[in-house]
Amino acid sequence: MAHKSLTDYRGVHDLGGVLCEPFAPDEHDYAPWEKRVHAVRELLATKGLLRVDELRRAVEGLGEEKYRRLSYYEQWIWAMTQIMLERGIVTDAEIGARVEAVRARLASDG
Amino acid sequence: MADPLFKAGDKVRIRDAYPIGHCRTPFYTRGLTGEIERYCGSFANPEELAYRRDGQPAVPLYRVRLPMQKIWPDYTGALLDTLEVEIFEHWLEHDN
Amino acid sequence: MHDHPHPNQPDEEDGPFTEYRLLEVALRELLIEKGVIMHAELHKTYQMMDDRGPHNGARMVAKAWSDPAYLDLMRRDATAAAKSIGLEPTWLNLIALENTDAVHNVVVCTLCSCYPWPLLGLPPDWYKSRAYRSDVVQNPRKVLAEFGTTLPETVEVRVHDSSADMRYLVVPKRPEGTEGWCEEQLAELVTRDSMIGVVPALTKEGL
Repeated sequence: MAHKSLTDYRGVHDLGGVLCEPFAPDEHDYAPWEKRVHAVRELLATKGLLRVDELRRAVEGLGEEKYRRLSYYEQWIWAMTQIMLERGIVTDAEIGARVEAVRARLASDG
Repeated sequence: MADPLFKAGDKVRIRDAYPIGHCRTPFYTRGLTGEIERYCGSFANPEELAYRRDGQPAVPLYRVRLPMQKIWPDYTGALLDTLEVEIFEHWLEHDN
Repeated sequence: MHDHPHPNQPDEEDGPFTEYRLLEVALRELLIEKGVIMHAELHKTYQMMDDRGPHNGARMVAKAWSDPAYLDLMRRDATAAAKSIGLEPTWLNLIALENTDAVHNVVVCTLCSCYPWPLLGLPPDWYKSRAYRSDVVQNPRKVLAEFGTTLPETVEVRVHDSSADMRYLVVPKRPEGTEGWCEEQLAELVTRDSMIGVVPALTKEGL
């Protein structure tokens, strides 16, 4: 099947039959911040402000290295922010300023 | 919404296509032949939704059954083993 | 999820603050300030998430084991079957996959991690892992063996790649020796993993 050699056309997320690390049935309890990401995503979806396929498209655009390195909800919050930027719901300046404000707040809280 | 072109039992081929955009047809299934297991209903096209278009008209969605031996020529499980995958109609053609 | 009296403060139990966690706080605060989402809605969503879990799927399976009319409805329209016992009505387009002496079903999403949240809660990490998504479609028996599940060659292993709009609930085989059990008792035997299809339901002895 010659076309199967077109691996540049294979998304980083499209994993069926790709050789990976060995399988192990691991799991962890979800952290509150992960549940918050999930809840915000569901709420945005309910309001028609975030289609699941938009989110997937943004996750798929992370690139190989980042797709592997980020945890599931790290991928989501990154992708959700991308879509909010694309839709003009938030701006990059607002996000940048708020991240720094949160960082400063945490530092002052010790 | 268009009537579904295929029905359960029809022999189909999954298109051997490699678009660069978002799509929901797994790479490993492309170009393979199988059988329609069922028509699932029609759904907005994810290849459009991903880019914030409305994905209409809705596209018929099917479950396609493939023998494992056809997907993986060196499959080591049992001959009986199968895989079922959801494929949108525009990814399918009759396999005669 | 616990109640969050001071939503602009991080949770202690969240551990170290990574850049992604900062981004989570920043985006959530901005969406709330702009009125895109509201506190009350967010709390309702947390509550809805807390109500989800394998106990919901287990109720369906136990009922299907006990009630032939319900099993018939599950086969024809599993979404209607979920709604008929008052489970969260959602976007879910559900298909029930019945394990039998001839067929063993197992579910994966190779492209992301599609999963029937309302019926099973949030998925385990392994379900979302690269290795599971890669291997279970190619070597399902090997992956099942990692869970201690081995099946004879006379049983068809049927892998379901949840690649688009449908979601799946495996109905494991009813364990032997459970004749006369009520639905509540039966539901105790139905684990999350048995409804993904990587293990059978618990046995009477395993309970």
